[in-house]
Amino acid sequence: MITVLALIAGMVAGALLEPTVPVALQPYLPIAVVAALDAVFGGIRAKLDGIFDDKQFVISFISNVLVAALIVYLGDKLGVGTQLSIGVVVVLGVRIFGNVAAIRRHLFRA
Amino acid sequence: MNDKGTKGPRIYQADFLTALFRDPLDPAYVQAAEDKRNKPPPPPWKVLTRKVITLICLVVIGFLFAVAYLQVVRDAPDREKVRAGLITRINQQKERTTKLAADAEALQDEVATLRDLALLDPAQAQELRHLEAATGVSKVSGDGLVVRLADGPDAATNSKARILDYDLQQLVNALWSFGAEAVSINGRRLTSVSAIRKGGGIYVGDFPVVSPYEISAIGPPDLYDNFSKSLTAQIYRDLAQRPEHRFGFKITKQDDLVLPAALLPELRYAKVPNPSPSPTPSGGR
Repeated sequence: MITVLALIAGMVAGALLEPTVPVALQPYLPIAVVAALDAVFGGIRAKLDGIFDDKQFVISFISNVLVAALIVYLGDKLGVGTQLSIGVVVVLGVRIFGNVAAIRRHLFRA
Repeated sequence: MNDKGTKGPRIYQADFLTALFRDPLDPAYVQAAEDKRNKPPPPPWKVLTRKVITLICLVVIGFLFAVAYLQVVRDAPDREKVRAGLITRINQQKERTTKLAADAEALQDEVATLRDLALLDPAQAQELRHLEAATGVSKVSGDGLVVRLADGPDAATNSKARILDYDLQQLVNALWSFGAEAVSINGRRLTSVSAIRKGGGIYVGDFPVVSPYEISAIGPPDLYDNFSKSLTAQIYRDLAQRPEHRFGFKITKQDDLVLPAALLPELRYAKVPNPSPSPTPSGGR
């Protein structure tokens, strides 16, 4: 419950502050969002499996975002930025799908 | 996932993507749960700190979502704004062009009047005016005809229904040959040096023109009769009827046509001579 509240508090803060994203960071934003989504769904699934661990969650979130950003950065430098972004999105997307499927099995037994 | 390497024969683990599809959960969670079972529970302050860090993380994630969402929402109207801005600018420039063209015309009239005053010999002025009309340098009005040409209804798919630069050339040449004194296409006056050519669309001089085309010509009284009976006109009338072409073609007699002045060609080699102390009416351009 408190976790959901924290998430909502963050959203409200973002909506109220309306920060402008620096142009240099803009290509990383979508990737960071996907990485964060992956961490969140992984966390929810672990919670439902009864094996949620705070440390794991924090580490998975931070490393996800950092690695995704690093890959995009490297891709930009190598001139294959878009392709690598697609790779990151596909891998994380597959994981999100799998985790959501597991969550669904937990919640609806189907 | 973690049970390889201990048994005898080498077991090839499923490759990364297969493993990913089969078990999308971060294996670290399972490991952490096992560790927890084996180890004594951490002190309460540690648990609390971790909880707090998790919550901070969640706040950050929520913040990230909101920022990304706002960014996407903000970008869309930006694009619209840019488009609208460009459209306004185009319209402004168009208005400016129209205004400048009107100014140029007024100035040209003024110049003509002043020059007529400066020229003492009315015959000379008359001759000059005739020459100007013939070269397209000044606006002319008079009776003549209008040839209307339009791409066929299926011009997008059927290239035979499309009007080509060649067609306009043929018709204009025919008009000249029957004594037309001034010709314009879609309001672009032709001079002896303006080309009708293809370049993407059709260009008259440096300006693109699009279907429907309107060739206006001012000429002698028998221009209409001669032209509509001409071979060129008959060929086009005939072609326009054929099912594979089916473009629009119509010749109408029209009185009181006004044809605008052509843009003066840029003088590339000719130069204004050194201004003499007393300007003389002779000299010309």
